Amino acid sequence: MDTTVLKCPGCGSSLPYNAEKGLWVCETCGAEFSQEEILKMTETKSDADIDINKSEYKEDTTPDPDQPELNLYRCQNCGAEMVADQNTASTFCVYCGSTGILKSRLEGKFRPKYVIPFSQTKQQAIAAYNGLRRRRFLAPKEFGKRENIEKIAGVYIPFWLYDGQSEGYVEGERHEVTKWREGDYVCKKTDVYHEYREGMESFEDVPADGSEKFDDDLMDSIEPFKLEELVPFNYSYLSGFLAEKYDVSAEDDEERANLRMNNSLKQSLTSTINGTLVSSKEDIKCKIEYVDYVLLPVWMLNTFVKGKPYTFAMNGQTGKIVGDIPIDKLKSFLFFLGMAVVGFGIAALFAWLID
Amino acid sequence: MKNIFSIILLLVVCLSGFAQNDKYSIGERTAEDLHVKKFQVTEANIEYVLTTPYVDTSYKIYDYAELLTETQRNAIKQRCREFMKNTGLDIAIVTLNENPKPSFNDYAPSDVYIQDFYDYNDFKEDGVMLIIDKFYDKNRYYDAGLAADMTLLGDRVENYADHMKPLYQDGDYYGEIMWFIDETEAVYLYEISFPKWKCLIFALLFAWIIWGLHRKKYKLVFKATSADDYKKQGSFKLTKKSTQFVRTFTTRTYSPKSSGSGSSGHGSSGGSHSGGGF
Repeated sequence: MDTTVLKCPGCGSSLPYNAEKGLWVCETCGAEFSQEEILKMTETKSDADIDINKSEYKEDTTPDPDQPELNLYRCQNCGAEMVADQNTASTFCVYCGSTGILKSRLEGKFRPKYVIPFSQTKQQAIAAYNGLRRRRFLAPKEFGKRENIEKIAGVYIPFWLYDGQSEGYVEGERHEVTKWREGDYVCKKTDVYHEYREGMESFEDVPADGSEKFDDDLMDSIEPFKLEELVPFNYSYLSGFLAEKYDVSAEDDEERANLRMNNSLKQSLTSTINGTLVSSKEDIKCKIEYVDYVLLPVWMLNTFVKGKPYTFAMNGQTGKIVGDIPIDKLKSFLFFLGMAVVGFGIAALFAWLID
Repeated sequence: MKNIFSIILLLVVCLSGFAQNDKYSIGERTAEDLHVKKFQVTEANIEYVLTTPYVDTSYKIYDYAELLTETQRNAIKQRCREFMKNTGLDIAIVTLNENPKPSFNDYAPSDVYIQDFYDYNDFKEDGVMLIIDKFYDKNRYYDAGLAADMTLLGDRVENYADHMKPLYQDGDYYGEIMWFIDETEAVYLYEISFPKWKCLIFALLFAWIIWGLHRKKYKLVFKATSADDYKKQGSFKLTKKSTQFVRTFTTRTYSPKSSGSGSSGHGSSGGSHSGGGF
């Protein structure tokens, strides 16, 4: 197994990617390196020159069926041992804090084609988390406080980007209703029409995360990413962050993207109907034409509120933060009661005015 | 001008002769003393005022047609007092066996009479009244003021007719009157308490909507169900499109506009009123 530590060529310290500056900044001497410089270093120098060493150390890892597969690696910076599960591609040394990139995990079919570098810093992620409290007065008082953040980490999460075309039809009945009055009777005339629409639509870069570890809905919710900012993958972008390789194949993940594309085509087709279908059926199929494997930046934040864990995710590119915010039951009840009192007051006032 | 006034006065005096002279009256109405406190009398309604008997409002039951026994009249009077105590509304019950307004045939006489009887006597502004008119074989009821605002009787004409008509046809006038009082009291008490329930229901609904809308702010995680953000510009192609007429059908639902028959409309009353009958 390979581990890689990106080190400063000046002082030999760890050289993480700085999201705020968009540069690699040495934690010790402060030297800054641009994307071009880093790429030049990784392309022109040998692995040994930039301290990409092969670790010969590997402990016996006879799989335990009840435990996730864990492997031990030696930190190339301080020599300490690091533990990582089978899908981890980049991790931290708990002793020196340097990033250990498990290069072999991102090779061959696991090598991403593109990556979006982090634009949002850890401080911005914490500030966004704190900002979730704003105008959400039903959240428990413990929520949103920095001291309750259990863990925060920038993670490159594997995503599949699907290009495809949906094709099919929607048909159903549409009712046109006319009402009029005849004396004491209300008459309703209903004209029934059969509507049929058939068509096709193409989609580009529909994302679906390729990791079992991360909740699909959470990953859906941090969309959209500005995919025009994708850059060709380079290991150096992982410096300072965690990274995962995919454990859900493109074929297995395809259904999620298909469903989204088919739903969108259905909406496009029904939007051409002047009205709503009261009963409908459709047959829409999607054909995936192209798939890209990319790493997208996400700040994962774990917090405990009243002993219960909550996970939040922030789009590491756009800063959009998502997660279900806890609600204090007592506050919620009091708010409802307060609104009921206000509602009663409005109703009573209205009744008094019309009396 | 003097001549016109003299003609009107003469007409008024002649017409006043038609007004029922009865044991319930407490005086005669004259052009000089009309005994009307609640409404302004003008040239337009002076004739109506003068042809309306001026009665003692404490009787409550005015049995001109002599349809009831003395015992029944007393029982009804007692029940009317209970009604007034329970509801705060005034009440008047009138029976007739002759045309009460012979000179105003353009309106249904009892329709005119019922309003005038209530409005030009000193009944409370809020109240109800029933006329059993044997002359025209007709029953009328009337609500004024608050009772009219609530359309206490106006919205329930059919219900009143369904229950009172059989009693009327059987000659059970006492039963009919007592049913009218009981039902009106029950309806009023229900109506008067109902707004509190309406307010409470509105309050709960209001709280639920605001609470629900606010709670939405706490759920930020959703499954993505569409790929609208990833559509290839201009790629949507509609290859087949058809709209075919299949069938048509018509339904009719009974929904009366307003079940009350309304007032006679000659404008005797300045306050709100409504009524009905069968």
